Parts: sequence; C-alpha cells; structure tokens
Amino acid sequence: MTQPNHTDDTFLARWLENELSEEELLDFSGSADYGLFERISRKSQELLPADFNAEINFALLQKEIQAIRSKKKVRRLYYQLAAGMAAVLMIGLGLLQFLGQQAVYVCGVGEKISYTLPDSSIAEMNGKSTIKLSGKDWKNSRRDLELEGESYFRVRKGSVFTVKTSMGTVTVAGTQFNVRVLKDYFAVECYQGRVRVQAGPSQTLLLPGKGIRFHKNRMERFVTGSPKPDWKTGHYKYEGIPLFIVLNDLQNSYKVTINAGDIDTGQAFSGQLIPGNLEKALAVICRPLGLEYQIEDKTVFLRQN
Amino acid sequence: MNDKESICEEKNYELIYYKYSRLVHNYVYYKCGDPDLSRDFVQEAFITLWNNCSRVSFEKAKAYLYTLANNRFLNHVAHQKIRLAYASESPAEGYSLQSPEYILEEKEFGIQLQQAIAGLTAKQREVFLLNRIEKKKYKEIAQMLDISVKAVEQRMHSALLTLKNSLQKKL
Repeated sequence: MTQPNHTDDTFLARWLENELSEEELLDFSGSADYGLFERISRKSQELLPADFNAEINFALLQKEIQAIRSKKKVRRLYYQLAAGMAAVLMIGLGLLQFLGQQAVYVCGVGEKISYTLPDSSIAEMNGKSTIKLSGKDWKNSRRDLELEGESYFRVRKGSVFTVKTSMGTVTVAGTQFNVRVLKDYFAVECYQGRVRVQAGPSQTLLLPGKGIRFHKNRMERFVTGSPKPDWKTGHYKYEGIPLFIVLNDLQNSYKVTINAGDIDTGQAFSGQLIPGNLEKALAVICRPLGLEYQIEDKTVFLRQN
Repeated sequence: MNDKESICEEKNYELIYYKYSRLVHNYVYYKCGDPDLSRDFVQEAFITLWNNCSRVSFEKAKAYLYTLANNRFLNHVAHQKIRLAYASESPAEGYSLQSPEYILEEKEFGIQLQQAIAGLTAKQREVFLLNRIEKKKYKEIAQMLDISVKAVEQRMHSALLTLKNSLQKKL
C-alpha cells in the first residue's frame, strides 16, 4: 500500500475530479486513508447550497434603514404612557399622533394597551409594539395598517382589514386574531373567522384554533390549544420556539431587561415560562440549554455554561 | 442608463438590491460557511451602500458591495459554529432502507464533517464548497476567484488533507 506522493500537492484535487491515471487510482485505492477520503467526498456533496430570500431580506433592510433615518426625528413625537405601569388594559379612545396622514399607536416593553381604531375595531397591543394606519379616511375605505411587535385584533366587519409586517401580510374581513413579529420570527393565530396570511411566496388560510409561524426559511403550522393567545392568559408554552421569543415574553412578564451576550438566541426552546417567580422561570429556561443567569437589579445577564 | 441616476433614489436602490444581493450573499457564504453570518454581511454592506449612496455610481456599485462584504468577513472572528445543513437530513422521503444505527452514524459523521470544514482556512473552504456544493470545476473556480487552476488544485488538495486528518482524530 502506498501513500500519496508527498511532493504532489494537487494529487487529492485531481483524484476528486477523476483526473488520476488508472495506475495512480489503483494505488491510491489501496491506501489506508482511501475509505475516509471517499466518505468525505460523498458526504460533502449533500451539503445544502446558499439560500438567500431577496424579498424578505429587502423588507428587513428597508425597516433598518427607516429606523436609522427616523431615530432622531421621531423620538419626541411618540406619546409614551408613564413607565412602571403594571399590566393595564385601557379601552377607550386611543392616543393618536399624527405624522402627516398617519395615525400611530404605541406600546412599550412590559405594557399591555388596548386601542380603539377609527372603525371601532380593537387592537390589544403587547410589549414593545407600534401600529401605523395607512391612507386617508381609514374607516370607510381600505383598512390597512403596519405592525411591529405584537397585537391581538378584534376586527369589526367591514372593508378588508390588512395588517402588514416586515415578514408578511395578514388579511381578514371581520374576525379575531393575534399577530406577532420580532426580528425574523413571524406568527399568526386565528381565534375567530378566517385569516389569510401571506409571507414571501406562500399563502395560507387560517381557521379558528389554527396558527402559523415563520422563522428564517421555515414555516410551521400549529394548533393554538387555547381560546386566547398566551400573552393574554399568562400561560406561555413553547415547543421548538426561538429563544429570543421566549426572552421577549420574559421581559414583558417580569419587566426586566435581558442581556444575552454572545448566546445564540435563535436556538430552539421547548418548555414553559413560569409566572410569578423570576428565578424559577429563569431556571426552567436556562437548565436545558446549558445557560447561567445572574440577576442584577432590573437586568438579567445570561451566559453560556 | 443615465450617468446621473443616483442610488439614493429608492427605486434604483431596490433595483441594485435585487440584482446583486444574492450574488454577494453566495460569495461570502462559501467563504464563511455560515448562512446567518453571510446574511448579516450582505445586509450591512447594503446599509453602508445606502449611507454612501451619493458617492457610489451605478457602475461601481457591484465591486463596492463585494469589497464591503469581503471586509466584513475578513474582520470577523471565526466562531467555528456548525452551520451548514445537509440535504439528506430534511424530513424523510418515504420509507428508508437503512438501519437506525447506520442513520445515526451518518448523522454523526455529518456533524463532524461540518466541524472539520469550519476548521479549514477561508481559502480552502471557499474552493472546497464551491466544488462540492455548487459543483464548479477547477477552471470555473479559478476564474471566479481570479487565481490559477494550479492554485485551486493546491487549495483543494490541502483542504482534503486537512479534513481527513481532522476527522481521523475524532473517529
């Protein structure tokens, strides 16, 4: 058995492309390492190629650019409710700010605020979220709006009601549903009526009790298992949900800031978010993922074990 | 196209995005072997393009984007995380004739191979992945990377040797 010639520094490359002479190949195939090289050659061909979704990424890019542009201009224009408010549901006339033609509704981290839209539909917002209505004479013509964050909608029957997010669009006629969008995670749950969801090239019609979520390039249908979204019942259960979503819920529930450092917050978590006890809640999340937590005042630091 | 057309105009910027984003992405993807990273690099490059839109002409946009993405890649410290995915691991296509032990062993080998690939130099990895995944011949790769065919073969040879040595230690 001979080893490949050590001064020939392209031997393996030529072998890979079947450019060896019969004699060279015969020799090589007798060597001890040959099997491993074969295996490497075969397995590596199964690797998936690059998969870039230009549409979704362009939408995200536009959002980032807009955020950079408007960071300075818009900060003062938003009317923030007093901080330190416990979960308060305020039904009534919403706080409207007009930026040109647009009405804007805002909710902050840890807050739950209900707004009545001009058509008497209700948007119950959860955590850091923004809703912008588009177009003039909103209630009588198309009812289009843009959402960032999370909101539960109770839509009055009327013209087509459309929720646009950076990850996809939700369309209904008159119904109740929950929409959540954070980073590259997008989830819609239907609680009443029919909801049409469009994300990239895919279109789905949801019936009551059904939901759909998108994360990176994956799409998953699921059953909601409860007549209200998790954030309204206070019982959060997760199955294979990206960690940053769980941490987002934790921030809202306990009104703390989470510093996740270098941790891969895109990794999947299955379990629940324990209410009423921050330490227990953190333990339940950290243990299966091999993380450590440290609570300092109103901030939680997470680290890999 | 009018010389004076500016990238600062939304429709032009969008045009450029749809024209080059995928190309730039794939270019960095095979260098770093990490889909999340390569996505970030592309986005950052385009944000920088936006911030400098008045200073970059249409003709220069492509080269500018490649340079930006490449710089981000060079400045980035490799974390050597397992990122690449295998086609065979997508949900089973019907009935499998392989034993559970074989399937498990294959999966483990796959993970070790990913780690070994993460341990290659960017130059080795680029050539290796372009040949294995994109099925490019050495001549094509030489043209793409603007190096000689011999250089491509040398990189491929050293990549295979490195992978073999790395895997031998684990098995």
